[in-house]
Amino acid sequence: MTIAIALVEAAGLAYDNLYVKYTTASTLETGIITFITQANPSFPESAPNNHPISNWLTVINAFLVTNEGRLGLANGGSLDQLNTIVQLVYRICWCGEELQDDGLITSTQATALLNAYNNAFG
Amino acid sequence: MSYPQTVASEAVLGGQNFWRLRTLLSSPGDMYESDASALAFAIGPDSDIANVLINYFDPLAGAASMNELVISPDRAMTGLISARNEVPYPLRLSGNRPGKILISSADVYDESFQPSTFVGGDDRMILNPPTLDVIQYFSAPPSLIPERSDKNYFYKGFVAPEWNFIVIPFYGRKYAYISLQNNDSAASADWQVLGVTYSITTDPKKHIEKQLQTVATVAANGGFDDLVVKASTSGVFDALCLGINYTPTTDLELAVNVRVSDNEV
Repeated sequence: MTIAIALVEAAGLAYDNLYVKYTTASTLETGIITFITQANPSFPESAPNNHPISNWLTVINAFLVTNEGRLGLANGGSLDQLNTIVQLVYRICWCGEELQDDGLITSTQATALLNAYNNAFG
Repeated sequence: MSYPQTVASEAVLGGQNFWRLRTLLSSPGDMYESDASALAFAIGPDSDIANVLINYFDPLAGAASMNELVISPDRAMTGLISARNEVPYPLRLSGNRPGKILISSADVYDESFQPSTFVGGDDRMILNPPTLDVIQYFSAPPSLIPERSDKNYFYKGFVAPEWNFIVIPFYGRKYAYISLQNNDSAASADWQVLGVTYSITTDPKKHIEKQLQTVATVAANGGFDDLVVKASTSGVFDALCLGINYTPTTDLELAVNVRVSDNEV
């Protein structure tokens, strides 16, 4: 697992980092919980510019709930599940990168998203 | 990403029978939402993106109450999809957000892509960002033809003396015709074509490439060359990367045309 220093790097490392979690017992699910829990408070519903990130967190949360207890190799999780969550993490990281570049979220928010990623998957 | 985005409910209030989300894609993470219910979703005629993910509120879809589908030029979606603005997705960790319809690209895109042979500081990238075009219908459409319009790309200005790489979206396309005409009085031009499939990587040069046209030379004084790309024989790609290496005697004398289509001619 590799710590990312920027959201675009976090996106590019999504497969590598989550694959390690996938193969390590019970860590993929806890990683996803950590990511959502730590990222979510920085993107309240009240600000429309937060909606792209908060919507991605909702989709990731839905994936978690739908696959609860069945993620990761040790739990019989499939590569298809891994591919799905990798793509979701990849996309939310890119989303955060572009929103920050466009000035639609603050650098503090982008850092919070990156920190949540690194704490969960790095 | 066009943000703030247009609002679907305003299209309803304006008396329109559809809402069109048409925007250049900034990244594969672009995410849009609709606060109006739909009777159909279809890929729009100008979309480069071929696969669009729709997430929506569905109380029958398990504990998350979220279902999903992917529309494409081969597959539209007809049927009621409700935007439940007043009911949250019951997802505590993400804050029980309103049950709106969520729209995103299911295709991958990397704006930093470079071919593996790209030489930094010398070569030049010309990226064409893909367009996302989705139509949400508020009344049942009489018929749906989600097939996209053909697109034509025309180029004449190239920076010498190194390679110019032009990236053209090719998601879900089944046919491309590339033609070059060199009217320069003395200078020949080298060209090549790669089929590109984007992957998840930190290295912009480590996407998947297939050489569709090895480096060839178009002679001066009216030289012509072309390439036909068919899905049935060449494969399917996210993008075509056309490389041109040309030092002109006179500017703007090398004409390049690329036509892409959903139909294999």
